Amino acid sequence: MKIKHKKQTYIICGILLVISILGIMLLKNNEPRMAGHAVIQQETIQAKQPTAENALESLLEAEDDLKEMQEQGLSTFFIQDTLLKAKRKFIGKNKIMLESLMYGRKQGLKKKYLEHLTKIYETTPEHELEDLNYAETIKLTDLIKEKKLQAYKIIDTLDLLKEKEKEYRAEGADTIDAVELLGKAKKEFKEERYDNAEKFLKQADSGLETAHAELLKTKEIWNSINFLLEKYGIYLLISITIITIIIHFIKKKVIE
Amino acid sequence: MIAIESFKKFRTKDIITILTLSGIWFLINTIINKFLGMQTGFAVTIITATTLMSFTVLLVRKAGTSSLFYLIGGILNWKIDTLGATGLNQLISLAVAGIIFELVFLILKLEIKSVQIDILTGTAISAATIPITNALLLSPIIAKNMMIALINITLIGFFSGLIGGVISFLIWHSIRNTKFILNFEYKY
Repeated sequence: MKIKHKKQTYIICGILLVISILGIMLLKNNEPRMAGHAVIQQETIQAKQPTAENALESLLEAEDDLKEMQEQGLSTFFIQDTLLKAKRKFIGKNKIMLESLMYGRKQGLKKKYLEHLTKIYETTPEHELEDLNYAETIKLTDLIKEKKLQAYKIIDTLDLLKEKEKEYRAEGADTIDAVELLGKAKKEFKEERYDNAEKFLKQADSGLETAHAELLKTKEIWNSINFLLEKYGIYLLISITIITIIIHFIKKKVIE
Repeated sequence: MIAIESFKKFRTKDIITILTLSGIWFLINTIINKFLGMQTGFAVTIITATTLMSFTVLLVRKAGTSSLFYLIGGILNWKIDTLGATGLNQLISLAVAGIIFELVFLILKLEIKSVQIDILTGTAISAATIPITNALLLSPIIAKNMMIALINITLIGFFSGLIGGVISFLIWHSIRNTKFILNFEYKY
């Protein structure tokens, strides 16, 4: 009787252990997103909703943006700072959310990235950890994207303006001021002050257009003079000669 | 039915037992923190903590044992974040887990074929509350937004707690009639 009772105790314990281990395996290895098989729920993640998944995707995109900019040889101190801030906002002050996000996720880019974020959490001093805020993470990664686009726009504009300057200079326009502004824009761009760079580029463009307009005006005047001389040059000469003779006679009569 | 018989004064050896087992948890937790990754580390920590906690309860059999064990454990593991949080946040979540265990332990009082279902259920439920409390302390809004992930980790906490409870019960079941345990329980 006692042996039977003991056996039943072990059977109950065995069943409980098997259920628990199966439960953990199921939650850890299967992946309808991060829910495992425990909760199957249709989710509709709207773009830019401040959810963990959206924030994680934004961070991955920002990493790509950073890599792309580095490959282009651009200075990325600001981008790196912003990205680190975004990561800290994603991590929060404890790693429970990172742990939640890692469970039920198969090996892949996102899981690797979450592991990378865990390492950041572990190496960040406690006083530098920030409050968890997915909306802020998305906002910061959007800023990175915006900065990348702004940088590319500046590069394109710089190239265009350089060409324009060469062309106008070849035509004879005074481009000294514009060249100086382009130099300033380039410097500001290198130091990642994109807004200032854009401001100088605008001024340079406007300076180039003004110099070109003045050149065109001067050219137009000369063209008009040339046209007049070519077409009415002989008449003008005759008229001037007649006027000179008349003045000469009048002068003579007045003196007499 | 509340188990009134559980409301007894702690003996010195009860306190020493709780302190020793909390210390063992701290040592194991330090090793887990060093060698295991985040996911496995979380589950193993819960299993270790609940094994030691329910073993302490099985030995001491007094109300307040689990809360005391978790509080001391929370202080000792102040800087270790295998449960997902550190410092005061971890201490609060462990205290909540301890209180939940006490409530289940005192109210349920159920035993099937010598298996103490009250302790197993209490251990599993209290372990499940740890990630919930941690998440709520972090940000209630985000916890609400990440409900699915939170349910997932809560279930892992629950099953890990159940494993811990069963392991400690099996250990206790195999040694409960030994001289050492009988001396501990009945000798002053």
